[in-house]
Amino acid sequence: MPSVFLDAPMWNHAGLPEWFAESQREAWERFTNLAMPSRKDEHWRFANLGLLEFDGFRRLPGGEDPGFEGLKETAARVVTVNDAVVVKDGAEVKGLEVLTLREALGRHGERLRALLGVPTTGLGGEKFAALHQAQLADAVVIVTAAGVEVGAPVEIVHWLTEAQATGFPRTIILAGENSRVTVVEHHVAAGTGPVWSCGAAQIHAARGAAVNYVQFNGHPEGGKAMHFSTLRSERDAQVKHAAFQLGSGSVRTEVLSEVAGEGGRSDMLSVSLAAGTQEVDQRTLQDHLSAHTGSDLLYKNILFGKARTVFAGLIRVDEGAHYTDAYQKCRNLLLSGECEANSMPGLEINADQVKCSHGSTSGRLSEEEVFYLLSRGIPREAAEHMMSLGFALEVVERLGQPAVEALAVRLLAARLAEIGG
Amino acid sequence: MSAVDIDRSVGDFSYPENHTYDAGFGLSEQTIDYICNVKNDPEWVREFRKRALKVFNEKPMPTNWATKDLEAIEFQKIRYYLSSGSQPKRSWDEVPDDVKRTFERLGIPEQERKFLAGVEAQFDSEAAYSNIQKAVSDQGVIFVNSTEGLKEHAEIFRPWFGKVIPTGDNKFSALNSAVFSGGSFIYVPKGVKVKHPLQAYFRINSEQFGQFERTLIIVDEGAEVMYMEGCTAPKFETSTLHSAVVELVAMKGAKIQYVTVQNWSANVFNLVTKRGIAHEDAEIRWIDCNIGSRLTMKYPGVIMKGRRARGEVISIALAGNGQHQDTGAKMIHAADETTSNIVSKSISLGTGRSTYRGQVHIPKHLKGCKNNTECDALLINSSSRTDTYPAITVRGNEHACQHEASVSQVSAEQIFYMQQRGLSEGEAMSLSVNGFINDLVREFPMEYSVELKRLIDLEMEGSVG
Repeated sequence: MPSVFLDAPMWNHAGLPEWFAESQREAWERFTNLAMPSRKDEHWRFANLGLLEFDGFRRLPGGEDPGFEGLKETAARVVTVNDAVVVKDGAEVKGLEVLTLREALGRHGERLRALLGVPTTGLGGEKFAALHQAQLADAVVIVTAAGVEVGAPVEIVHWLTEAQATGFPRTIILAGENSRVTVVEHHVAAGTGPVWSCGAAQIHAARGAAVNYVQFNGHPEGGKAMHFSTLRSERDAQVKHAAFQLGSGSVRTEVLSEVAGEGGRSDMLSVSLAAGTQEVDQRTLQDHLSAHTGSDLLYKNILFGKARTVFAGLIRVDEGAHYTDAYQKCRNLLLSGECEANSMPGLEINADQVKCSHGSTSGRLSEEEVFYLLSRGIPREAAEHMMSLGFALEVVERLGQPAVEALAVRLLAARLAEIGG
Repeated sequence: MSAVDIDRSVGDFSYPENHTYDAGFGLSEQTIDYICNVKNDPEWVREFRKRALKVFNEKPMPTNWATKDLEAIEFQKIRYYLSSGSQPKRSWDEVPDDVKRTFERLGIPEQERKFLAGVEAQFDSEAAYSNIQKAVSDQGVIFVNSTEGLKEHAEIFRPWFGKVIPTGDNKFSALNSAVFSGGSFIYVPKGVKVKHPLQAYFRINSEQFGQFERTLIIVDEGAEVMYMEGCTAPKFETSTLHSAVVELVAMKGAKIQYVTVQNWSANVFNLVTKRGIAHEDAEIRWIDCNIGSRLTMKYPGVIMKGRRARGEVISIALAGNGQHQDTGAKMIHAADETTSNIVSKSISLGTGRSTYRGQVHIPKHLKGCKNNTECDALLINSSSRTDTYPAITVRGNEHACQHEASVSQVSAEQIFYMQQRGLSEGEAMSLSVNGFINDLVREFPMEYSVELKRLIDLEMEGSVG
């Protein structure tokens, strides 16, 4: 089995545009030339570089859909197994296209050029973003026509089927003017052995569009996950990006949100339940490029055992982006004596008439509240879990769709039950 | 009229240089030998300096996180030692006339007569004047310059010198360790509470010069002291470097308050390392105000080493046109039930840039540690800039930590309201800005806070629009 790190990928570029083939070749060269990150790089401060050891991970061929219980009602459903699209149904909604990489390049070609390049966040993971691009085998491309409102969510399930399996899932959402769409994405594995996923999501919301993207990482403990998201909201557009970290051994995510057009808005949400020796390292950038833009970030970490989290978020207000409202909040709930939370909230303000603030808290459950539950006959562990779930609900409530919120609560509760064992 | 006058126009004058000792331009082993010979340093100090020079040469500039403006410092175009002799005068009458006039114009000796327990005035590399009131010295308080401290009080000086801030802490602490001269050494014996503040005044008079004072303050069990320092320099065309190292040691139950009003002229690179160790039940407070300089990089820190120790940083920064105030705080919790508080307020005017960098570290196996951090920034003009980069590490579930930062403008409604009551726009703006920092200004001794307010009024003039 060829190594995804040492051997150039076996591309099949037949029938694909030359620019795309070239971007993959360039990306591979970039990956091999770029140095491994070091802790001296500000973007890797507090990071555990152990995350960057990948011995033994390999790519596997596609297979049958193992079946995942997600949303009951969807506008479309896509299942990939080891990066191969094996199920794609629905897409009956007029003006909604759910496409594979090949289909999308065939139909939309040039329009995808900007979104189908290396997913560059500028937050430190350039080498791995290049690897992702070079190894990209397929993608899920969701395109909405102008004015189309897709009611039920599009659901994507990415499977890795065996221990040591590696995947490079990619989701692209191209939302036409004034359209609305919700996409729910799951990263899951068939076994309990560690897997490595290096994924990316690119979202472009055209004028007045609203995109809601919710991702659940439910990989088994012990593996690794990296994910690069780049979001762009044009004039009056809204992009909501939510990530639930409910698995993997070490996770690194980078989210760049460009609020590009006047009246644009970005919401960035996350809940991480980290237990055992898990590490969750999240880097974000809220980049305000125009005046009258808004963004609001809420990241919550709940730490058990020897878990470790890093949050590094920056709000950047570019010159001329006056009247920006930008908020950022990272809250850590520490439930054990040995967990560790690192927070680096940041602000860079180059404009006038802005309202920006960030806050970060680290603390534990209130003893009085726990006592109240104990006095009602609820065991301590159950009480802690109830309160942890309650802590996470502030994020869940901002997802905006009851079915997606219910799904989030179900998956969070399941993960809490798993941690409780 | 005032305490240390921090109005920049008052500080902007200089007298012709008249130095007996000049180490010349550039930095090498010879420079260090020259300084050691002039100062008649003990052998261990010579070795300490030479080791530090090696560390300085080996360490890269911290431009991976700090501003690239640091690269504008030309180390070979700076003079590292200038003085007219290393023995400070005990009586004001013996101080040379132009030095005396300098400090008189700045209002220094006047102050001493008024209320200070002791004063030291440093002119370029060495203290020109140093005095302590008899009542205070009779209590056993030592207040001398660092040269005298390391020679005359080696048994107290040496055990702590370079222990709070090791030579290799950063490039500029290494530079200071290599060429340090001047600064204060203070020892307060057990149980002595020094009623009035001790004061030091730092003055750069010469061009293309680096001032590298070294201050060590040791406050023994249950003792208390307040130390105030002020800094000015005239406006020269070329850049000047000020790179101090300040180490504080608060023994069990001791209290130290360290007040700085920095008003260097806008050509000074002010790169300072300040840190204190607080033992059991001790308290260290850094009260810091940065108004001048081209670039200030200063992150006062407290290592809370003993149970229930407390650290605090109160910081005000005002970044005017072309200035960059890169300030912050570092709180290292190393014992149970330690608490720390950081309150930082900055104002950016014109093309000024203010940056807050903070580090809070609460390791595991500790219980009941608390930190509170607040940083607020005010932007006055559309070309003003502000950044905030805190880093907070909390381990374990026995602690509470909160951080908050905000960026805002003076609200147009407020200005309108005040104008409608008959204030001019400038007055209204000054009032708003003073209101923004008012709760921190109160932490400064009264004379300083009056000056601060006046200074802000001055800076705000013509800044509207």
